[in-house]
Amino acid sequence: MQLARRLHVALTLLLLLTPSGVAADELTGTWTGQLRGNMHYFWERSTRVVLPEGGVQLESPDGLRLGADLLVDVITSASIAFAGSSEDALFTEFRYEPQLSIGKEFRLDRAKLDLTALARYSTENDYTSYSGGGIARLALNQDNTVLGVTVVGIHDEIRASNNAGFRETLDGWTAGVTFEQVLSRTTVAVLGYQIGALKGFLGNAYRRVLRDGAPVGESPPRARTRHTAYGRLMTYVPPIDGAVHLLVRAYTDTWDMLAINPEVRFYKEFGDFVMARLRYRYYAQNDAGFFQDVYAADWPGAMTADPKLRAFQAHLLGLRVDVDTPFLDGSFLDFASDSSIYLSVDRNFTGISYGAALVGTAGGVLRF
Amino acid sequence: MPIPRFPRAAPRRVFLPPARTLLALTALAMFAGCAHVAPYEREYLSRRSMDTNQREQAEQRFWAHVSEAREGAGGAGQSAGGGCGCN
Repeated sequence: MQLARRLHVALTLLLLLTPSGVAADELTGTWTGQLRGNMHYFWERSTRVVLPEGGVQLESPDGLRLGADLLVDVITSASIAFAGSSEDALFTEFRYEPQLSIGKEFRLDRAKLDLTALARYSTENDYTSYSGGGIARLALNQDNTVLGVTVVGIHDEIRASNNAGFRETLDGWTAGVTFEQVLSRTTVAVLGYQIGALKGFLGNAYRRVLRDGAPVGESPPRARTRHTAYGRLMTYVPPIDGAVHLLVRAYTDTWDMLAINPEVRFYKEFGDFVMARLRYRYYAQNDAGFFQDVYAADWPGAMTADPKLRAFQAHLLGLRVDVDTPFLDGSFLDFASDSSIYLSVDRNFTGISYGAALVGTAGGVLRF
Repeated sequence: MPIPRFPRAAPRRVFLPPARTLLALTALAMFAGCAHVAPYEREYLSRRSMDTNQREQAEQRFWAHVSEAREGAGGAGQSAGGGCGCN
């Protein structure tokens, strides 16, 4: 079984990393595009995630964009949440997520309107998710102002592999607006707001809470409305050939949760090909209004044992290096001279064991 | 140890209500006409370190998925669900 799983992963990787046979030539006015591939790795004390993904985007001579992506989520966990309240079992799950997108930019009189529609499907043995939506971006004032609107809808179907009778659904939608403004020759600001509403089963089919000392299935509220506001200030600093980006995100919802999430990123360009990014991210949240470590026998409301619904803080430090490859121009790797590759490593520190993780990501884009 | 019947005595004030956020967006929109940087003045704005959205897209998408599973405020509709109680 272990060998079969490894073979499964290897074949999937091979499919994702093999360049397609599409031949595009921009000079002849035919299709252009890009191939992209990424490999993500997440390490936590009780969980490992390997997530390869790949995709292709094609653009027609008149600007129509077609995209197709596929990711595979390979999760290996040792978790009492899945096996019951007293066992600590090791298991591996696969999740597949294909995504299709189509978009086009329209030139208006004194503006540019970019429209994108996307559809996504995610499946694993006990969870299926369908989502689709659209993104509109309107660039005004010679691109000094960009307004964005995003709308996404989801429908999820939830099952439990240890309970054939368990069938639940989750439906929701998200709508967001963004406002991007050039402030000077070196500075850009972005502000955004997003609202989302979910209705249905919002828990984990396997997780148990302690009620009066006995484990029972968790039962969080069946509706949740989420508000997120965020901002980003980016400024280029010519003397150091780099930029500083300040980000902040504030969140609240109808589960009585509050969270704040500031982040600072420092970018440094080294010559024409290399760029490094150093970042620090802080995250803090309170506990959900109904969260308890142990529930009384006569507890009248919602119950959860979800550790991410308790109060905690987290600090993240990360380093990323990007390398562009125009130096390959004229070499035997000339076909890859308009490409870029990157490697990033992040370490997340939390006051609880859950979420204290090491994350590595590597990938690249090959343009043609 | 006594177990509280209700975790909250009273609803707390939301520190960033939607109305206030929209007000901030509107205020910034009023400044939109004040700044105009012509295309030939965008040497710095077009540098790699200022135009990071495309190159960081995959990494950010993965982080959205991670935070959805590990943070109470994570996700918020950014990524599809999974069987891990991520919602």
